[in-house]
Amino acid sequence: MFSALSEDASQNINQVLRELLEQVEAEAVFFCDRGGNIIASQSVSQQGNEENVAALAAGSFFATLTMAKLVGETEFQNMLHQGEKTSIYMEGLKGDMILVVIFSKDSNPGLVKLYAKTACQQLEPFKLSLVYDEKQMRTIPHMEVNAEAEAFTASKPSSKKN
Amino acid sequence: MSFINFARKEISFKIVYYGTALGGKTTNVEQIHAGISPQSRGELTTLSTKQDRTLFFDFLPLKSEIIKGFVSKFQIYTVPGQVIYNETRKLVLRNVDGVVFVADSQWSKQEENAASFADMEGNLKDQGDSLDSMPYIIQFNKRDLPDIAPAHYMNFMLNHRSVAVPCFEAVAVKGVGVLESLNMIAKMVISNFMQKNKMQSTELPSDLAVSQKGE
Repeated sequence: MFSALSEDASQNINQVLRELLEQVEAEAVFFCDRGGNIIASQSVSQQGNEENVAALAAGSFFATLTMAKLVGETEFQNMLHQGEKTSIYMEGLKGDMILVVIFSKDSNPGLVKLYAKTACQQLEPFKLSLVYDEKQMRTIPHMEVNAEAEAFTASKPSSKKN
Repeated sequence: MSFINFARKEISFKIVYYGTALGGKTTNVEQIHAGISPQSRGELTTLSTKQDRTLFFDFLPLKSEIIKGFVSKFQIYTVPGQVIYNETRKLVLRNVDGVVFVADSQWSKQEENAASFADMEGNLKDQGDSLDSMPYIIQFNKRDLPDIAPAHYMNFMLNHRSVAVPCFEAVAVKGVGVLESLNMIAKMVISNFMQKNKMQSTELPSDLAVSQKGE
């Protein structure tokens, strides 16, 4: 099985994220799965490391899930990492998705939490559109691999080989 | 599990470097980060202890134009090799699309290699995956050290499943065999993705599945 996101679903998700970004005056908002794939993101300025943040968010969420089970909980639904200048709030949706909000000290963590929960409710229906089965995948537009090329090439001459 | 984002014209794949503690998994990823063009890679994130032992995972996002009209994103992860971190290894293996098993070539590490390989098979099985359907390759690392097992011995020990997979001899600290391993697993992951979805696919050479580089 593979997962995929249609352009329509992407537009709707981005709309929810844009509203959240404005409501809490966040620096960035990501919607990602618990494998660390970014589904959609909105930010006030270009974030160069959003994939790394998403991977770490997914990792920490799954780690806390294991912790939760060890103390008799099903899961810890949200996490707040509060810094001096920048903080990160993460809210897990039922299923396999995480909403990540990065905000500065000028934003109120309570409001972030409140609006993020509302956003999660709005995002809840879209997670279903992420899953395609193999039969559905056949309806996906034609893709072609560049068979002549390597996926990655060295930026400098490689080291001397054995 | 591969992920396609049509709005962004992106396909994401997850590749995990697995293997024994101190086998060279992080070194592989560091060499990839240092060796390929900045346009093809993002930031390298390493979560290590003060002794440079991987505590959680290393992560490096890469992108390629290998599928026409889409940006192919590869999320490269390493697992912590130390035995006590098995829960973390399970976490990192979730939704994996391809594995590079990094084996330490030293004679003294052969038993650990076999145990780590069995550990990987067990963890994949626990999450409903199997090496029978998962693209993977084996890298024999540290070929520059003096007291090492011959490649054919390591191949016999680790590559004995019903279908033999590509193996690469490597000296990861010098970058030898690193990019070759990455490109091979990338090609196999994409080929698997295309074949599963009945798309036009790059055909792997017929001798690939049983060939062994450097022999």
